[in-house]
Amino acid sequence: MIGKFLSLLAAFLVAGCVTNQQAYENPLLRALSGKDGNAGGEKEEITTEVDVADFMVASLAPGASPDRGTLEDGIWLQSDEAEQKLRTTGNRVHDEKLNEYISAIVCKLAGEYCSDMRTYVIRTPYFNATMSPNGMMQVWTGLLLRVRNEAQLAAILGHEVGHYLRRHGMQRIKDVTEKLNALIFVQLATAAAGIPAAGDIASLVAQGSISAFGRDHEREADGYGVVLLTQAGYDPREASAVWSNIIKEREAAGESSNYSLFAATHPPSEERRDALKVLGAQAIEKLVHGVAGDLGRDRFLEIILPLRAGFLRDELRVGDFKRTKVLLEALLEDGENPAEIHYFKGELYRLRQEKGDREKAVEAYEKALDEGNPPPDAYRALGLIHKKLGNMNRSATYLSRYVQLAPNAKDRLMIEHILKGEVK
Amino acid sequence: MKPIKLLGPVIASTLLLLGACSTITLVEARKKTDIGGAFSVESPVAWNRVSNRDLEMWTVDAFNLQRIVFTKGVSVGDPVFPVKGSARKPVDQAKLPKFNKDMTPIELVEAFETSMIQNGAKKMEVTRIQPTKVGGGDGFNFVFEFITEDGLEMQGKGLGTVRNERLYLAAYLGARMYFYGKHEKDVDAIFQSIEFGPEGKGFSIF
Repeated sequence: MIGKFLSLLAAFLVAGCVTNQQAYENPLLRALSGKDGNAGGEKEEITTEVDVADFMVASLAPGASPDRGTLEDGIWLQSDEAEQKLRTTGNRVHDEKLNEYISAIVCKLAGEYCSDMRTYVIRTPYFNATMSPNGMMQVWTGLLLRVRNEAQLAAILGHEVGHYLRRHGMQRIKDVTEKLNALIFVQLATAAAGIPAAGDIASLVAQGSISAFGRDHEREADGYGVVLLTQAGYDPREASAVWSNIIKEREAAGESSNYSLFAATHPPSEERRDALKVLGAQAIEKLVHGVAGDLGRDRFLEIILPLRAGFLRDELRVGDFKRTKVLLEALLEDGENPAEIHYFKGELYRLRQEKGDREKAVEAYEKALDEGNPPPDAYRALGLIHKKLGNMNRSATYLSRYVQLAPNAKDRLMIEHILKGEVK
Repeated sequence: MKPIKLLGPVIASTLLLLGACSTITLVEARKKTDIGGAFSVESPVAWNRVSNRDLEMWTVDAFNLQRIVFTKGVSVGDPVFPVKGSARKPVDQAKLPKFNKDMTPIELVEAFETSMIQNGAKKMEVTRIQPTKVGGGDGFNFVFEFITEDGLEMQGKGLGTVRNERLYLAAYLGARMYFYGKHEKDVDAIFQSIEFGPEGKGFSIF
């Protein structure tokens, strides 16, 4: 019995080593892990050379699906079931322009694999995107607030396309099934990501769970993402810039903050930022002969700005004010529609209700007014605060302006009632 | 079908919504019914009723399809709408908006909206807020809609008032298809019938 156990243990250990060695046969992983596949504790210089051939060896032919009755076929069926549910899920964003825009970027990146992937925008205020084995991709609205241009968005989408091309979902499930520790893995990974219920691994993979991919897969997908990004005509240095934004947000919000599910189960953000910086620079040199690509900022803003207020409202409702404050500061720095951002800063202080927040809220709302063309709600907010402060005339002025600017507001009757009571 | 006969689905959905074991009792039609010792209502039809310390819920068909939720009187510092979520997705009580006595009706409805989102409602939108009388005193009513996680379209209406520094909220919500409309008029009658017990001087929330 003991002999059998030791043999089994030895087999697991060998299997683990083989898996690692095989993984590092991939040039990108070898590069990101250090020379000669040495994944030791010391931080080593990243000396990778980017070669298109290294990252375009897809594991699936365009339009291919698994053979019937195989393990992979079973996983695809589960993914299809999950996709069926996702189609009618309550928080799916149906905005036609946004969906068309994101699908078009995915197609630009995926080329001949375009028709194998289907993208769903999900209204969830966290930084995340997922890919399922059957080509179902989810893009969360929290991600759209944390990228600044189309190239940055494409960097994340390209990463997800990389997962599909390399069949990471399938690889992962096969790997953990073979090692017989699937459940432990899922429980640990989901606990780390703050997901309370684990469920079975197959359905997690089917639903595109972030925990379903290993860190090595993430590194590989990052590499594929950079190449796809460059080939699609974008500036690949933007892939690194995404992580700079996320690191900034995480540092300011504190480690305890659930700033990003995507980052929680992925390689350290700093490592990704640095590796992507190297890869981005090399991609420009090797793949496009030093010509940096497009940022697509105007196209991005045209689609995202009209939706941004709704996404920011969702952010505030999470109640993670530290995280949201950092995001708002970053958006202010970005410079687009500052009146809207000042208004949301005011909202943050109003809802947070810490000492001195009422004064900070007033200051932020007033800045929104100073910028010109503020959301009408900024006038309402100032009117209600001044009423509480006993400044009845100022309150009435602001509330009247609100009613004037938003004659069809949902609370117009309530505001008019307040005005009747206060304005003699 | 008498409401009391629908215990199977009622129990299942109740456990989910209240997050604890509860006894289901019958609310009789055309009879004054006490809510948490704070106020009474009268309904034209019979309902199934469950209750915990903070909330009372009524349904005819099943709690997930249609329900009235009454708060029993929220004190300053407590959650405006004390929802618990489900065992799988419990609501982080620390993140629920808390009641303070200088909140305007607009802020109270906003707090209700946020609480519903924390409880799993998707695309929750309040589409109207207006002043009204509740139990003879100043109050407000509101109309809202949302989608459940599974994609079921829901609609709802609610009202609220503050008396003796305690907030009283009631909300009716149901599936847009059939179940909301089925008892909407009965709910209007229930809301109209709210009667508070003897009390001291309240304060205006306007």
